[in-house]
Amino acid sequence: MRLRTIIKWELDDPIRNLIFLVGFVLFSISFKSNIYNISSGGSTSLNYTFQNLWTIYFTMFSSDSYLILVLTSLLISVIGIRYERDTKFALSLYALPIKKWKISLIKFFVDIIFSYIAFFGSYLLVLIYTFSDIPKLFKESLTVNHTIFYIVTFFLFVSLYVLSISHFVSTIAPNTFAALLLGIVFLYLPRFLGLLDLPPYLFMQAFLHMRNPIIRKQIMENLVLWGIFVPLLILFASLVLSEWRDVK
Amino acid sequence: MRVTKTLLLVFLISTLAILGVQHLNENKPLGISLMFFENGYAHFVAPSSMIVKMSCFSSNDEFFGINIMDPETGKKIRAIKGSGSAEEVFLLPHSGPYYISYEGVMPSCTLKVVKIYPSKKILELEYYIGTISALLLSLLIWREKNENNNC
Repeated sequence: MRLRTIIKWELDDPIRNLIFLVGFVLFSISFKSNIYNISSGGSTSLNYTFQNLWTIYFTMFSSDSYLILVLTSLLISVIGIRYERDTKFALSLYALPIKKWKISLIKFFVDIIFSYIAFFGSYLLVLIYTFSDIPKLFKESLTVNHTIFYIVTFFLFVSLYVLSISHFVSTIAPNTFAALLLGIVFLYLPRFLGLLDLPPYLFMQAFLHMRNPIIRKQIMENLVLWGIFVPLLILFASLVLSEWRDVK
Repeated sequence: MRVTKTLLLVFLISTLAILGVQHLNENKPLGISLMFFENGYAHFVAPSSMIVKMSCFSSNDEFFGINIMDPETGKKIRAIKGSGSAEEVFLLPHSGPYYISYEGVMPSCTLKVVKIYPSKKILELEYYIGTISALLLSLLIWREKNENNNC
């Protein structure tokens, strides 16, 4: 019951609601602008016309969307965890008779809801606003070969990865600005160094290749390491650290 | 709860933003040269319904015919015939994939976008979702204000 009150309280945080709003709108604009291209490629067989829509679906996750995702998730978790301590508000929250790691876990849970809905919800909204005038093909393209399932899981993996790192840096950093800087360094350094087998390049390449239904499963299995294992490990580390660190 | 209001506001603002993006992209210069594959078809995916100009050429002024098909309804939406060269402006009624087949000699074709307009169905959906979320949001805010006055 008390936990539920905290979840409700966290969900009603005005600053994080505002970041969610801005993130969602920016995502919609960037996804929609990405769509304006004539593409060809995919299937030339008349029985599988819906496969041609996949060339659009799986090119929509670009470096722009990654930038917006990083900004949104980082701000959401830094404000939820670090900023609260800087402004001494956290003293009253952590005075509750609940273990610190539980509060930290609830914050992670609420943050993932925010960033995932902003990320995936805007994607889905843009798809609906673009292809709902061809209901038959649109439905086929999403259901055949479990395409919608793969898209849902992929987006969850990416937001888990980004959010777990944001959660970690906001737990270890000494103040808000250090948390923001560290987060950007961790999330963008592999990209600046051009490391292709680390996220974000890993995710971008994987999503592009997922339009091929034959190798889709294989790609998903390769993503499990960076999409689930690493985030869970980092989350575990930050929960342990949050139990150690004093709230000041 | 604040989250419900935020969600409604998100739908409203995103819809407006997407309408804006659609407007900004009306004159985007898009084009593609069509490739006919072994089974005799070329295809492309349109991001929206739009007006396009198609120009085709064949060598030595030989006769060719081109059919543009819409896989959603399975109907032929346009046929172009010509010897040597042909050019035609027509409307693609909705977004999504289109197929092109040829008769006679294989021509080389290019597709140029003249104007991009969202189709009526999409616009209606956008207006509906925008209006409904705006109305619900105003209802929620109005109710909340009344409750506060009663206290």
